[in-house]
Amino acid sequence: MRLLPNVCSDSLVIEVAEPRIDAAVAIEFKEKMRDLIKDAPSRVVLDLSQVTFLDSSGLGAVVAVMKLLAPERRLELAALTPTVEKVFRLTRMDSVFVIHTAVSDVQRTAI
Amino acid sequence: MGPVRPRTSGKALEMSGSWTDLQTTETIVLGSALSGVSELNLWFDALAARRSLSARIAHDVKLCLNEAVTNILLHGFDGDPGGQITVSVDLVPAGATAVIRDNGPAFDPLAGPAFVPAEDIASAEIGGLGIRLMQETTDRINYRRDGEINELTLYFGPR
Repeated sequence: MRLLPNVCSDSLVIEVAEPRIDAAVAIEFKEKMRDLIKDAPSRVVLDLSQVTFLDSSGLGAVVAVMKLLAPERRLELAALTPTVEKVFRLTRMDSVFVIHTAVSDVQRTAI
Repeated sequence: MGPVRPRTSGKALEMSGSWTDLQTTETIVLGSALSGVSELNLWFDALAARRSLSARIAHDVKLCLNEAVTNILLHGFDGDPGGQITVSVDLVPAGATAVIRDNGPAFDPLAGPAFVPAEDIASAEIGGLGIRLMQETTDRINYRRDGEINELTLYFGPR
């Protein structure tokens, strides 16, 4: 599970450099994210542009990371591929997360 | 139970053409290890490519198979080395049918509480999302207990 952090303005952008977040990697994803967000600023953005498959275990892992950050900090999402966007939409989780169309949009909406 | 090689069964052998072209149902047998999910995905990706499945239906079928198999492995077998799952996928021009059979304890995934969308992150539940995805990406789901076997049938219409 390769997660590539990058400080971008006032945010920490973490690129998921894997095609899948599913049951096989969900625990590893949560553990690596926990380490990466330890000293993160108030906004963490997950770049999902390379993720083409997300199941409910992967979605649950993303929600768990959001819960770890709340309430002082928050997790936002960027660059969802169509299949990943569909999973968020069908579970109505798209209304829980701030979702940016592209990573470049994150800088434009800096807090 | 060690790794099990995928098995394939066919139909319509009386018709002209090669056996491979005519078969519509393909089957894989998985053990109780979580690595079965990766084995399942490799098998299904190859099947989808071989049968020129549209990206949309391929994703929906794969997602549902992942949800069903992961749930059985994590919650049904709970480490039981005697667990076995048989996944059969029948691809037809009008869509696809997937049948998942396992020898775990009786479990009807359709019997759970109705889906309630989360209002915010504090109220967001991590459980129950898998069956929601299955219900939203299939045309119909049937569950039945056949002796000591759970049988879940997923129907996917044209899309």
